[in-house]
Amino acid sequence: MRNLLEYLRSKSSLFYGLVFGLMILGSAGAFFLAEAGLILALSLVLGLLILANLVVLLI
Amino acid sequence: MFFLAISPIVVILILMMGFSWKASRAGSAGYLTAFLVAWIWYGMNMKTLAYAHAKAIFLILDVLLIIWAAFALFRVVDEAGGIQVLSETLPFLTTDQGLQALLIGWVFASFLQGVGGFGVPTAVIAPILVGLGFSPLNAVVIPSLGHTWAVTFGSLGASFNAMMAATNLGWEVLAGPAAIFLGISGLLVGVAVALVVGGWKTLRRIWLPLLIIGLAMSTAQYFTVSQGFWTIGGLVGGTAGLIVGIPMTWYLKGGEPLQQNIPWKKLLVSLSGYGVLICLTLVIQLIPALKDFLGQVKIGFYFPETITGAGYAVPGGAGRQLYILRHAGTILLLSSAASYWIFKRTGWYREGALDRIVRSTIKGVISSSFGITTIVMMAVIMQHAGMTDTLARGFSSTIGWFYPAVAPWLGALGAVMTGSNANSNLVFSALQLRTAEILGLPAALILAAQTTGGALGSVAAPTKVIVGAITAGMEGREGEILKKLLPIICILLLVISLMTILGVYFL
Repeated sequence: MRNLLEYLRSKSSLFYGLVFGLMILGSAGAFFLAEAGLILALSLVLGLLILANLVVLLI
Repeated sequence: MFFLAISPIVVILILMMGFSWKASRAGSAGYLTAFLVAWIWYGMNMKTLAYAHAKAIFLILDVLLIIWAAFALFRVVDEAGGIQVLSETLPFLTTDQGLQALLIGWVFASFLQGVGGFGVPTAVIAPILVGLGFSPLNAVVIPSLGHTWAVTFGSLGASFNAMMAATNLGWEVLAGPAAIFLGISGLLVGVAVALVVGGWKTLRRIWLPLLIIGLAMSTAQYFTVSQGFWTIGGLVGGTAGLIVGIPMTWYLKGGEPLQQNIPWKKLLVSLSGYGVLICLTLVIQLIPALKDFLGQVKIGFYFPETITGAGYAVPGGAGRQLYILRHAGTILLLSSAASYWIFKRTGWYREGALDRIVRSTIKGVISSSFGITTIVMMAVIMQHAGMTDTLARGFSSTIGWFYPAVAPWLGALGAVMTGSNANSNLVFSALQLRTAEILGLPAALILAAQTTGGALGSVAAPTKVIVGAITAGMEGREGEILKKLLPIICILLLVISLMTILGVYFL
């Protein structure tokens, strides 16, 4: 775990770029999932966004 | 509930100012706090959270397009040595740092706000001031303060238009009081700029040009908007400042003899990108047929009404629309391209310039883009959960007759949270109007206080602070900028509070 966080710290620009893309694409995806009524999939996507931001707090 | 509602903002401010966290990390903490409070205590379900996230995308892209393009324009000019030329040439007008700060950080910043806005003044001017020998911190703080008074009628009246739309009141009611409040703010930020540069000593030395330029800008803006030309109020104000300020600065010379060998041609070439930016903005905004034609290409979605478990409803609607072809970011990108072509033609670039510009632009904006994304998402979630509403009602209902003093602070709060005066006006103007009606207060004055507070508060918005920080080479040190900006903004807001009280109860 510690090694993974160290690796992410060393590649912070790339990591922030990936999380930024995830936030935008995830939010867009969440809209379409909400429109389709796929609440379970929508919860997973929003959970993924929370997880990604928790990792940001750790690095 | 009030403390829960304000918790995301408090978390961000404490982490950035108390623990010197970067905005990108603090933004994540604020976003997570807003998400959890909205979900657990405000009863937002997954579906309403999804709509809030999707709406935020358009706001984020609206902001980021400008930041990316402004940074690219800066790199295009810098790679060619244009910033160096400006840094070497502008002292020819004056060697006095106080006058340089006034002319560039106050007057030119106000002009740029008038024609462009959206964070461009700080992004453009901070690196110029760094080149002139200002500390990076002052280089960010000076233009951040300098352009505030021009925010409402800048960006060709976007923020003022938002207030008219939100209240359904016309310019005849709103423009005059707003221009008076903003005009007085203009003089005050000029004083603040002088004090930031060199304290009372500098203010005593340059108070006369400051007063003359300030009066010229404020008066020009007031007469323009009070005649119904609110779209060009900021532009005319800034232009009046340049027309009065340049000859005056030249005449005063900062106490030293003026050197004769000003490299006009090099100066013009180095400024070409910004010249193209101003020309393109004017052409697009002032020719209605062209503006309408370019406005045909827009991106947007219709969002359904959302209702939280606590019963707070946000009506359905089109959400934020992105007019791609006439977007300030597009105009900045075109200016970057034109500027690149001019520098290339005049042989100012070394081999591999384009590659270096693209790489440094991407590297320079990635972390801040993420920070802006989380902060805007936090703000939109708060709006949709009703947390923003809780905050506004909490502030107003407990205050009563003292409400006029609080009105500018609400405007400022909205701007800090949402990153712009326009958004603050959209969020809080209707609430301010209704509260004024309930309390029997003059709505025009309360709304003038709202938009002036929003204009002042917008510079302390984390999104704008990030822009200033990255363009002045202070990325990751946003907390230092906020520490210096916030006390000044608070003093200015106190003055506006006092003016509102006086206006409401004594005039």
